[in-house]
Amino acid sequence: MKFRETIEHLDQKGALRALAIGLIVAVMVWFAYNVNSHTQLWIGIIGIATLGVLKFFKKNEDTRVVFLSIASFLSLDYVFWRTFNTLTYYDLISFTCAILLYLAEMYGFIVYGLSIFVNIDPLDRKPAPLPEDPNEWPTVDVLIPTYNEEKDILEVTLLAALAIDYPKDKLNVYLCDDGGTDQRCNQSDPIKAAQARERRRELTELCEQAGAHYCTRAKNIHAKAGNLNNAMEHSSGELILILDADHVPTVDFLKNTVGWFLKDPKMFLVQTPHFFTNPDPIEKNLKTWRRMPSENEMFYKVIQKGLDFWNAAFFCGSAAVMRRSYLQKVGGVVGETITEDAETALTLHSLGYNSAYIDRPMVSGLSPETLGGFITQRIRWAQGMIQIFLLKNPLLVRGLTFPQRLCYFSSSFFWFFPFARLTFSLAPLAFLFFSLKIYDSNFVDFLAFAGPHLISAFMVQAYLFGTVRWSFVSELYELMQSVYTFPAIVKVFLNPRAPSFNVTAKGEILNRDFISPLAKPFYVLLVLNVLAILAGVYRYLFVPVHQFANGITMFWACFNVFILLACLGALLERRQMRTSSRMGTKIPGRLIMGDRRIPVDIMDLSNGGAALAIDAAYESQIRPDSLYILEPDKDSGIDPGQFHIEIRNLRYRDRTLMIGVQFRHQSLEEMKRKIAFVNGSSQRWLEFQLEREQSIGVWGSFVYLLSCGFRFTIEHVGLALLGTIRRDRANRTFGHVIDGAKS
Amino acid sequence: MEQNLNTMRNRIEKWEKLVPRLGATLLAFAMSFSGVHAQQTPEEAAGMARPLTTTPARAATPATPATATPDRPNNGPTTLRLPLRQLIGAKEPIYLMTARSTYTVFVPLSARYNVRSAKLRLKFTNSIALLSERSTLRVVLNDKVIAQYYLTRNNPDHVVDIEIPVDYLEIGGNQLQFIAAQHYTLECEDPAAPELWTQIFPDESYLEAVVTLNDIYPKLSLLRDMIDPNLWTPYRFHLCFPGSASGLTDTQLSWGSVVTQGAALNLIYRPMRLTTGSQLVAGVDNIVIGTMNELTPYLTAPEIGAINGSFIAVKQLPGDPTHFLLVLSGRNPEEVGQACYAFSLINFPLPDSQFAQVDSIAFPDKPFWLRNAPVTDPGIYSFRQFGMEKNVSIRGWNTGSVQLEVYMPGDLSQDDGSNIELRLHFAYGAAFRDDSVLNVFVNREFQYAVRLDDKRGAMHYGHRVYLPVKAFQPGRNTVDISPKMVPLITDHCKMIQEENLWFTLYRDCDFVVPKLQHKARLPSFTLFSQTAFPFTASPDGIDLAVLVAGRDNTSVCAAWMLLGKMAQISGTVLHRAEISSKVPKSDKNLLVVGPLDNIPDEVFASSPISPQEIGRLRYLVKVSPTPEATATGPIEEFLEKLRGRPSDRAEREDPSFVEMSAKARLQDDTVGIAFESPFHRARGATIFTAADSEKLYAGMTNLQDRLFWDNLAGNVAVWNDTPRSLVTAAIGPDFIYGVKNPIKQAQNTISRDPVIFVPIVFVTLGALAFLARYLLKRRENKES
Repeated sequence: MKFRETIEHLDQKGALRALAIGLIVAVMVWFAYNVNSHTQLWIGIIGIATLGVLKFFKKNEDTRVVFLSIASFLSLDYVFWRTFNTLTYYDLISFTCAILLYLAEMYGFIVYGLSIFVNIDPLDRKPAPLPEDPNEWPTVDVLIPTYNEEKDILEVTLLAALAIDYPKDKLNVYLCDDGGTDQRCNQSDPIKAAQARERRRELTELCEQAGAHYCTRAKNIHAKAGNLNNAMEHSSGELILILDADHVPTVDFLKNTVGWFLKDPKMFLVQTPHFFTNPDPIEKNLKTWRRMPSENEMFYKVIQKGLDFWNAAFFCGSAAVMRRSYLQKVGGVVGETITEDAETALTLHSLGYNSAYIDRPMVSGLSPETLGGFITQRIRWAQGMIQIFLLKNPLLVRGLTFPQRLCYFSSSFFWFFPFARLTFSLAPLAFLFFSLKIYDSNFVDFLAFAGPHLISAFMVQAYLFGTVRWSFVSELYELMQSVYTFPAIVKVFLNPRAPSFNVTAKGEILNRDFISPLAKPFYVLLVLNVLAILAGVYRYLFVPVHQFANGITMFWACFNVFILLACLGALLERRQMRTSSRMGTKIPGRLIMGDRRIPVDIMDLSNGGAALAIDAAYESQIRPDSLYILEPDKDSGIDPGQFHIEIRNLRYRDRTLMIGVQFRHQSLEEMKRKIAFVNGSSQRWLEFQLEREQSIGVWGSFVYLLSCGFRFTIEHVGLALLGTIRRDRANRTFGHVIDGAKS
Repeated sequence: MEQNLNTMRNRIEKWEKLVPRLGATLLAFAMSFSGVHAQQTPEEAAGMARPLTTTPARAATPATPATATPDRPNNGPTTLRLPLRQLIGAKEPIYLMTARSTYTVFVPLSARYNVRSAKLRLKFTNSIALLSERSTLRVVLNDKVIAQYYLTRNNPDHVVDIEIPVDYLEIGGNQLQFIAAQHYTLECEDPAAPELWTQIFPDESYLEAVVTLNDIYPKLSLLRDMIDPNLWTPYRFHLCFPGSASGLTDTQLSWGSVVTQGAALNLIYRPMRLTTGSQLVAGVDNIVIGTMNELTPYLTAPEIGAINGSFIAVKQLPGDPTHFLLVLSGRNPEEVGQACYAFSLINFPLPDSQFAQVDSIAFPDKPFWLRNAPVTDPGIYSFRQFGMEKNVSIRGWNTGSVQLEVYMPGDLSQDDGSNIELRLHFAYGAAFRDDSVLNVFVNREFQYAVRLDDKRGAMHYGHRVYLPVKAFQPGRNTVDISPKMVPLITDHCKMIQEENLWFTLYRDCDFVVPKLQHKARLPSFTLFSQTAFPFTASPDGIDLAVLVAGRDNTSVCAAWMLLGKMAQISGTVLHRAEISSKVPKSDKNLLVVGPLDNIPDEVFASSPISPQEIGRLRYLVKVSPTPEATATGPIEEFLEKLRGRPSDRAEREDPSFVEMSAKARLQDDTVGIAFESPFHRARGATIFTAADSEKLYAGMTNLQDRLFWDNLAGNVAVWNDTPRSLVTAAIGPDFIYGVKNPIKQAQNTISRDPVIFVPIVFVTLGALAFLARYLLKRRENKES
């Protein structure tokens, strides 16, 4: 009993935790420092075997910590060995390259270590129930900031926001338009000024019709943050839901999030995941959509939960509810950097307020359609997080707890990956071309230290993220971005306050396949690595020395080629005709043709239309281009009512007649219902995600990506060789073909 | 080996009195070198040293002042004998193989000798398959043939005396070559046939010279030639401290130590004999040390007038122009010390005059060695730094190699898994057979080979060769780069072209040293014999405290000789060593030299054996061999495959002993015991002792012999000259040098044994993981 009291006392003081963490780190460091290669060989073998056993007990939370501890130790061993045994000065050039490689590896190790820390015990937070009496619910303002998005996109989001299941007297929707500011309406370019005025008029009209508030301002100051802060001045709700222009909320959004503000008076943020109804360009180009988990799922399915455990879940710019009073304390959304979202959360965390993350997709958004848009978006994120690293370094900001510091540091430090990724892509060349000594080791030591580290790192990745991020996908995405984000990061270093907010283009349409203009640097990297492999073969055959180093670097170059092939595949941009992707579902309903009601199953849905499965016997009764009524059953608690539709096409799939229909709403009210029906069910998004959440293992992932890489690289090369001819012909014929690359 | 042990067992009864612990290891090295030192002690036989200096006991008696000696000592002809064995320093016989074979030895000759006549006694035997009329042995001295013999099949054993023309001999080094031409048929033949051999017996073969001593030229610049490593006999000198009639002070002990080390360094590895006293002795070189006032009888008035600081002067020994009298003096003890140190610096530019005054000595910033400087810093070294001054071209089948001499620090870790890289720049000729190779050896152990298989010849630049650091030992190492070139056409009955067999190694080759790990496990006489570690951990001796346990001159000389030998091994003068006749308790490594009865008991406090136990009787017995490792399992086999070599195992089997509880006192043996210092953790202590000072002196004299010194091992050694024998054993606990922290010591113990370390790691990790889990759970509960 006395022991327990002592423990309690120490714990209250925080001493126990500090002591334990210190002890854990010290012991691991001590062991790692003292291990020699022979012992390490044993530790590696036993450690990997233990991890192999423990991974089968993944659901047991106790073994999770043991698993991560052993893996951390194996990597720590490697880091000590790498630091104290493999860095040797031979000549200036070799040493410089060796240090660059070492720094890249240390970057990887730090990110890896932080990742283990962040994700050691992810918090699966459930929605807090609201009081039964709606009068006790807080008032909410929905702010939809926009700059240049199309009216169609805004209309959907606006109507979906208005359809949120929340007392109407407590819900106000604001369309915060930065595209129709006085400054833009009065700009010197008369055409653009006219466009801005027209936009302002249209959106004002839309808001009036829908029952929302149109809000704009005099000048475009501080981009999105300034826009939101302006809207805050014109609104007064206790809570603020922020939605990007393309983020269509589900009806249950507020009921699932607001409860936490009532439960925890210090809560300043409840963040929810961003869910996209269309593939990002890499998914689209490699055709992995619907098969492989999306790139952002690793962050929203695991990392944010891990951050939430440490009270460090941060604002991601949209799909989040914030408490007005706390935001006002820091002067609204903070905009010193171009990632105002994370910066605001960091500031509020440092004041002692809390955040929460609820892992339920309650907005459906659009990914950038082109690699150009994708890269623009990532450059902004990278620059913004590096700005935070430089201007508001989480390790130095006052008021954060130690875990919060590490979490924020992890989030910002991660964005140095371009340096590491490019270094890894070029490092084998240093040896294979120039015989530079960049990694001083022998076979046994390498096997004893690097082997367990690499294997355990893969195992940890599969353990933590296996179902939401397949192996090698991170490498692919990071390399795709690195070539372009690296110079952008350097610019931030040169002038941390220079970056400006660039809006990510959404809803673009690509009407043909083309090779992304971003491909050229990847050709160079691929050619260099292939040549390096050939150089390695030459060395193997004709310079029979350094066989071990030769073998390792050739393997390394082969790995680079594998990733680069996948990159080339992804750089072949596919045409994209729909602005909104159709999401699979199976909702029963009826097709009403006059007085006849034919049972149908709605097989997929989008804001534009749907696919209906119908008994083939009805084929003769259905007339294409005819106007009918679709009456779906109640789904996820939403009673959709009836929708006017137009039959667009008929086709058979496995003896089932599939009808493609387009919605033809007759009133704003019908449109509202349709949007709520199509976008309003978070359960549907959840089920869609769960379908993709599967692990195919390291080898399976390797084979899958390799096959994608080969297949689409061949297409890429084919298009590169033939595309010029086709493009010439196309230009002669039509002249106006949209070049997706330029857009 | 068994035969040797039997022979040894008889001797053990007389002298082996060590106490082993169960499980202690023993290297019994019984030597029967009847031919090695069978000849008379040369200088005694030659009458070069007067009777007063022949034994320490007599040396300890008041020496006869030089001024009282007759006008000129007897400098009649003396016969000196130099066994061939001493020139090759190896245990193996000399074999001349193949159709053409050459063996070269270098014969030193001191400038102090005036050779009247010389001969070579050569004992050799040849294969009885040789064709007598075509097989010959040539003996060549400095490229001049001095004899040739048929290698006859009917009378294969030869003992010949070869008169050496005195004019052919050169001061310094002489190249003596044995060149065999061997054939078994008049027809075409296999030049590498196994029956083509001749063996020379180096123990029975010797050089003999009748010499007189030349008069010396009293110039400081010639001192290096007078203390000459080319002498055929141990160098003898006498240290005279006129102010030491009542016994040597600690300061004088220190002066003597520095001067002895300086002389020893100049002798390279040659042995020396040393006496001391308050007066000069005749017949040997004398070094007189003291302040100006103390040395007045030995200085002339002009010399006294010239003393205005540290003073060095050399002159002929009064009445004996064949030996010198060196004066090291000053106005006060500090200046005398400086003069001694100036003398000890063999690279010090001593002037071409009879005397000089040393105003000051400036030291480099970094620790320095006078020679044998070890490689300590990682980086790229050129071969030039290891003795290869110019490009080396080698021609022929089996005609030579390039040798680098590399010194490693005394605390070089034997666990170091890194590699040293050689970047070789070389060229080789055309039309080599495919099996031509370039072999690389470290300390005569093969390490690496490069095929020389380009029939058009080739030049390689930066060809990398990796040598494991583990192949190197602390102290001196040899890296041997040896091309083995075979002609493309070697069939019988075809002319064999050798003129194409060329190999050139360029001088700009690199020797790339990684960051070396430093960890010395002590006590270890092996390490002591290789580098005099731990006493030379700092090259100026700042970490060394010497206790001369016994104020008599003989014990002092024994201690000085030991320090001299240590200086030779380490290549440095330990001038800052603390040397005293009282127990030094400063935080230094402790070296104790003295008769057993004079060594204070407190010094033995941490010794694995006590003074009384030194005499315990012990008999070596043989038991059934125990396996070095347990049965190899599949995992171990797999690991061995991965590692490419067998697992580390004990190098030798622990000996078994029958012990008797009877005690006996030391008699004729000299004993060395090394252990952790009783006064300071992680410091070394070593005691060299014997029953009395004379036996101790004899023991230290013998210890200079390579056959004793090079075979020191373990941490207890007992040796004797009659019969010549050395026993070594490892007794008691070991420790990591310089690691005082008990945690650090534990880590060294634990981390080297996977059987202990691995379970500890995983159990601890498991425990820490559950601690972390407990804390996380608490936080989780708090959050929810």
